[in-house]
Amino acid sequence: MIRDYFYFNLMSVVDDDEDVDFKVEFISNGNTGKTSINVPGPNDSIIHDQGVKFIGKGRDLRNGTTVVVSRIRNPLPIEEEDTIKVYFYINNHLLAQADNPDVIPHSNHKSETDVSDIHLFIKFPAI
Amino acid sequence: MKRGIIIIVTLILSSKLHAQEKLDPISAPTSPASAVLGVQPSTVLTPKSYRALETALYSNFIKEGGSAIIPNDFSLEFTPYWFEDHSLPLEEYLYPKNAWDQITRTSSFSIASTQNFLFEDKSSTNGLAFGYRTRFYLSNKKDRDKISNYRSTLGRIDITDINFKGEIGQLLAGDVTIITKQSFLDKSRSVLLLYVQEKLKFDIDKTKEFVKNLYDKTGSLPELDRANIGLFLQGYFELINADVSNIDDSELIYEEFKEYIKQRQGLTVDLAYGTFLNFPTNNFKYSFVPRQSLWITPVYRFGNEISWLRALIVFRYEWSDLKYYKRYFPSSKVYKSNIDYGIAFNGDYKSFYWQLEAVGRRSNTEVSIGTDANGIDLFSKDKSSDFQYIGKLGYRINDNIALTYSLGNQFKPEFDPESTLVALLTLNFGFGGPTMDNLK
Repeated sequence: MIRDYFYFNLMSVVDDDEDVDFKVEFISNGNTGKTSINVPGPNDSIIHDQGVKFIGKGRDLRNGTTVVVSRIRNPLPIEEEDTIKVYFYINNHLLAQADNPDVIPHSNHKSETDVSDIHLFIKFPAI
Repeated sequence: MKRGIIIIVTLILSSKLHAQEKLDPISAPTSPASAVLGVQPSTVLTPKSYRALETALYSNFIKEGGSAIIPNDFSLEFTPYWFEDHSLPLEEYLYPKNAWDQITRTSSFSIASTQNFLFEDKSSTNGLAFGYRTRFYLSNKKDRDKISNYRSTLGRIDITDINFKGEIGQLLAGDVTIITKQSFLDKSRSVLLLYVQEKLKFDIDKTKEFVKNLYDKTGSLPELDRANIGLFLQGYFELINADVSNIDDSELIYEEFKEYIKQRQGLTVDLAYGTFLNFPTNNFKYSFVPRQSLWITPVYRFGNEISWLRALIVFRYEWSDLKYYKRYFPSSKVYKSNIDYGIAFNGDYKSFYWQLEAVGRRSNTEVSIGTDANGIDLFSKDKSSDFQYIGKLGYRINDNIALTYSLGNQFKPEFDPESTLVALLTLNFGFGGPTMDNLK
């Protein structure tokens, strides 16, 4: 059964001319998934499994919220892997909430679900 | 093997009136330590970290005051590779780059012990066993095609779903005029229509009808609170998923994929080794290694129409300490070494499981025939052969109870060699659910 996890108020400060890269990294074993990156404007993109995608210049991401939805499946037997754990990065920095300096790696035990939909709501304010 | 506590109760319906011993599995056991010790512990500990392993060992083998003990009815299995995150994507998990990767990932260790290892005179002694097991899998084209099909099908489903969820999230985050549930439902309707049409392959009329029926159920959704959008979205997506999953088969495909990963088509070779220490005086300073066993079990799982069928070639080499058996089991007929070899077929269909096995045994031993003129012991070689054929039929009554009936002719037991007929009904109770794997 799919379960949704929401992370609001995420923020990454970027310069107008700065290239912005979004990265997904699997931490626990046996994950597979797709990540849909919905930026303000038409340049949406998909990451297959893990990897990095250029999502635009800083100025392109100012007006609005970038919404990322990542579906992670972990079909391994729970005896071999009992957790889904994933890190998300902007320009090689772990994503963090605006009002909380602690980074937010997503982690859920597979007894909750082995199909996790992780929703990230990200703002890109100017320096 | 399913983790958890497995309690096995054996009811015996034999053509003879006396009890039969449990059947000795000829294929590589999950816990070689328990197998070589000949025990079926009521609990199996399966620590998932070094700390848990340390705690399990310390709390069971060290008693108050700090002295060591052999715990009774103890069994522990652990696979060190899975103690840690290796950031191993599914692709690399399914297709290891080399043999060493396979060995490290599948190497499991087992420990078992008992305080009731009985000698022939019925006196109880301590027994402590160790085991190792690993597995090699050789992928083939059919396996790769099958996995590729599962992954691409699920990938298409996932992209449709997350694109929809992303659009809904962006609509709600970007449009600050959406402040009520009704305004959200009005503005998101066109996105939902497109999603349903793409996901369920409906025509436009059927799509509209589906969405109308779905909207009739939105009374159960909480009112939209922009300070807690997550709660609202959670309910909204759950509502849609409940109706969509009644029609599409993505959850079924995923369950099939998980099952397939556990039992992939092609050749698997299981290797296992077990040995045990016996302390005849229950003193750590005086011990024997009565028996050691080595198992090699290649298993071929067929594909396509006969995916329910598996063929096993079994090989087991056992060697025993004859001085030990002569001293503590004087009336037993134990050979110095046994080589078991044979073939088995098994399969399952829905709740049923069956197996047919035919195994030969060659045994060798040395028999003392006295001494020569210089007082040196003289031996002659004694060879023997035996044959075992057994059929089993199992039925899983529910997740926790299964029934197995075995019929055939087994190897001559070490005690009571005439008792070779097998007619055994076994009722298995499991907490956490026995699988056909752990009933074999």
